[in-house]
Amino acid sequence: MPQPQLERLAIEDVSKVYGDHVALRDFSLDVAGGEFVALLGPSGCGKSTMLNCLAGLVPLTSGRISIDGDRIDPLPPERRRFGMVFQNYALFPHLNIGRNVAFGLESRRVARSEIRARVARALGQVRLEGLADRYPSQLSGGQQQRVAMARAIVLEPRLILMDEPLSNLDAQLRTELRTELRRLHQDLGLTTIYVTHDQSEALSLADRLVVMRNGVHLQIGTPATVYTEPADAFVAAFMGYRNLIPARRRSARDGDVIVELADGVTMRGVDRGASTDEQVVVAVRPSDFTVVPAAGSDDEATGENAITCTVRVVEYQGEESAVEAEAAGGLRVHFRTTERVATGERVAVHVDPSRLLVFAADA
Amino acid sequence: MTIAGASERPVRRAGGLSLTSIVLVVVLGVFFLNLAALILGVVLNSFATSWFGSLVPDGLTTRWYAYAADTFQLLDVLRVTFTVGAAVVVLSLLIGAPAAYALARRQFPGKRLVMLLFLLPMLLAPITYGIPLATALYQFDLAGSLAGVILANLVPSVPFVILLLTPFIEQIDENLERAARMCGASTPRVFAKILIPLMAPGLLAAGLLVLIRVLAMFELTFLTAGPGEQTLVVALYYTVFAAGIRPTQAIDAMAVIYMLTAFVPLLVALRFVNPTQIVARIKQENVR
Amino acid sequence: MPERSRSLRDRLAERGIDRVLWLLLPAAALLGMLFVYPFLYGLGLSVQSQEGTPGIGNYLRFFGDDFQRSTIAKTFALAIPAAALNVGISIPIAYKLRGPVRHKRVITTLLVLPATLGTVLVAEGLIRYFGPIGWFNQLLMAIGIIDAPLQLTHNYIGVMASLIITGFPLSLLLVLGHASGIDPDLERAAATLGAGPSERFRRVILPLMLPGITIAFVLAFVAAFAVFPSAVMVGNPSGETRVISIAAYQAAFERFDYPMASAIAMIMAALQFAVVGSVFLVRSRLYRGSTSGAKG
Ligand SMILES: Nc1ncnc2c1ncn2[C@@H]1O[C@H](COP(=O)(O)OP(=O)(O)OP(=O)(O)O)[C@@H](O)[C@H]1O
Ligand SMILES: [Mg+2]
Repeated sequence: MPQPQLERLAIEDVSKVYGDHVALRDFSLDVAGGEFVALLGPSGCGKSTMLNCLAGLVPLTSGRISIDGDRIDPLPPERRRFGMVFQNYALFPHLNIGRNVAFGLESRRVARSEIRARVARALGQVRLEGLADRYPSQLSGGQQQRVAMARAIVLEPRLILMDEPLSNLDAQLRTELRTELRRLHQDLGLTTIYVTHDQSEALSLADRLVVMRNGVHLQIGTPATVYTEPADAFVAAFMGYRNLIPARRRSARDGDVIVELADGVTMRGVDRGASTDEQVVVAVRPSDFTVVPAAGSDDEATGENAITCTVRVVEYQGEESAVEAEAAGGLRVHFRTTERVATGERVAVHVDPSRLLVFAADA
Repeated sequence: MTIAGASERPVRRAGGLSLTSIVLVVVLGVFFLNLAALILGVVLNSFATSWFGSLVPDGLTTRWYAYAADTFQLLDVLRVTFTVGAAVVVLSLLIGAPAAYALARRQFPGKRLVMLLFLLPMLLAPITYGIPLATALYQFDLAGSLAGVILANLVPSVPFVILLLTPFIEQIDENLERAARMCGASTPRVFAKILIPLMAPGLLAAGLLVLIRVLAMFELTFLTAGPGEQTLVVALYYTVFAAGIRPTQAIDAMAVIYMLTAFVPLLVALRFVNPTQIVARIKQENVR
Repeated sequence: MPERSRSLRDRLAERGIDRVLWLLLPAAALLGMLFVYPFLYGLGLSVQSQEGTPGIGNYLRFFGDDFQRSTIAKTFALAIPAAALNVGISIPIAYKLRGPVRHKRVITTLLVLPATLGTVLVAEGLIRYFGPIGWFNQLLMAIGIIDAPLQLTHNYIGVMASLIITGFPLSLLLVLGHASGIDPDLERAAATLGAGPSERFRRVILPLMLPGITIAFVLAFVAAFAVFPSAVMVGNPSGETRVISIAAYQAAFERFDYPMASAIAMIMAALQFAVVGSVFLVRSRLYRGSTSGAKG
């Protein structure tokens, strides 16, 4: 039954102001039917606010939300026919699991026999058969999370909203349920908007990512685009570019730029909007550095695009080690390597120019 | 973009007061208006030269306060009231706080029974156990004495302190005590340096609330006090009864003084606790 | 030998029994002496005559005498409606006030104040304010609703008014305290599931408020049940508001018939326990599951 119930959800110039705090500023987003969109961003950036505006739980300050051309923002939440999964699940503690899942169907005056059949099916879909008579307090966190899912999907909503649904679970359960969510989405084809501050969750689940900061979106794109071509240094940081090194732009050549780090080392990288500015930020993922032989005691770096540094901290992580090293001028460099390095050792790390991104320095 | 930020009410629709809100505001408004008028009437009368059937008194004077102080032995009554109040506060904290600590920190067989013992006095109207208690106190020659009045008032006060402090102590991290012990502190030192300071707000609030309850506790004091141990409420009750021969203004002067004695600790208490929290805590305990 | 006693102590400590429990002793002893003992003493006293011959004569006399027996009905006629009214009005107000409302602290503070006035002061104030020449009657006459003062004191109305003034604020605080603890997400969840405002109240909020409502009702009932000073001062203590506590007081301190007074006190206790018990019983039928929301 993968068959989206809406063609297009349009969020246009939505703003939300709390007192004198702007939680959302002119936010616009188009969502196609059946799409899985993740809103990603640090705490307090307005993700929940956006979701609550969509659900009708907080009124908009300005802007429009429409589905297939019909405005829905004046509708109260109970008339929007959306499903919502809350961060703390919000299961009704006085109702058993069956009644929790049946709640929305009962509100819609669905016939008893149909309610029973649909509740059973929904509980099956989240693999909770046989728990209908338990109360929420008698379930584990993961089970409660599944009940919250079942309660939302049983209504076959035209849009399903999830606010950090996995953040209260432990790491293992989180990856397990992540797969489950993906499977449910594939089976049911429900248009989904998913809020998270966990980049790996967003990358693995979503068809499209919206990276937010301070109430505005910085980048919208497929996981691959956002991951490999972050729009700015902030998005890069969020996508795992742990090395963000201030530098000066020297020259540009066929889309590449040459930058000079604080200690005079020059490096070549991809221009990501730094062309007009002298002050830039260089972004490199720890896994994009490779360890190369250091040039003896010579302070100058060996070869092109390499930094010589002294290993300070080694975190053993199984296959690899995560290393923090110090280069000249107190610069901290983070890299990952399968080679064995020891604290105090001098190494040089190299990065391919295509993997070194140069952004305009953030104001 | 600078649209005035309306205060947030989850779920409810924006704009306009609903009919139910208006009805509720009216209900609360009428209640408080009548209550204010009721109190104002008493206060105004206590300052009236004479007041009969008109909207406001004929003239104002303060002489009824002097009169009340004279005729009703007000100073003696106040002394008794505060002796009883202070004694009950101190004793109920000394007895109640350790019990609350044990209840907060230990799960033991028979705990429900102990809880029931501590709850029962709060689930019965004082006059119910007040009559047998007074009778028993007469047997031991304690009725009609200051000690008797204090003992009787401890019966509802100690459970009240336990009920207030148990959840308060529960939320003090037990690891703080363990940490202090690891640092070599002895049990008395743990109490003096860790627990008492952390419990201070709770102790203060509980003490003030007990004081307010004792000041307002009519039945138990009435049943156990002789003529020499009347607290302000009881004295007030008797003066109302002896009316006819006393000017009503003097009675009301007494009532105003009583009101002030009760309000002062309340206002102090409210600086330390949020009123809904007080009752929320009582309720939470009762539920179990 | 030391081996054995040590292991016993450990075994007890495992079940939570250790020296800390001594801290319960003072409170338990005090209540044992001043609450349990007098109660049992009163119970013993109630089953003997004034001369000391055992028998249930006191109870027979109480229930055999119309004038005495009618105090039960009079007490219930005051206590049940007063408790129901106080809690009933509190429910919608607490529902409205439970969220973040402006001036909430002021409102709750105002609500606590009357609770400290005490029954004696309220009764005294009511005699003035509701009396034939009080402001209330003056106002009604000035508006022209009535031409002769209403009789509002020294009868049932006066006592009821006093019970509401002293009882309503406390009921509202209890219900509000409980309602404020209800996770607002639960109502939001119900809304996204398609439940309109009245359905949300009926199916989510009201059931979750029920424990608070029960407690408020029980405490309001117990407070109203023992109505004594106001029944005497603003009521008609020899007629329609001769409640059972007046009967008990008169037996003890006017006729010095302690056995009879104890018997009446025992009857009062039994009636209160009966009501409190049945309220809790009804609640446990209506409400299942835990009192707090699922998962922190
Ligand atoms: N009811 C409110 N009143 C005032 N400010 C609010 C309110 N709700 C949210 N805010 C503010 O709006 C901003 C955005 O909040 P929001 O809850 O959307 O953040 P979030 O991205 O979901 O963060 P988190 O990851 O921590 O959940 C925050 O700065 C928050 O303080
Ligand atoms: Mg959030």
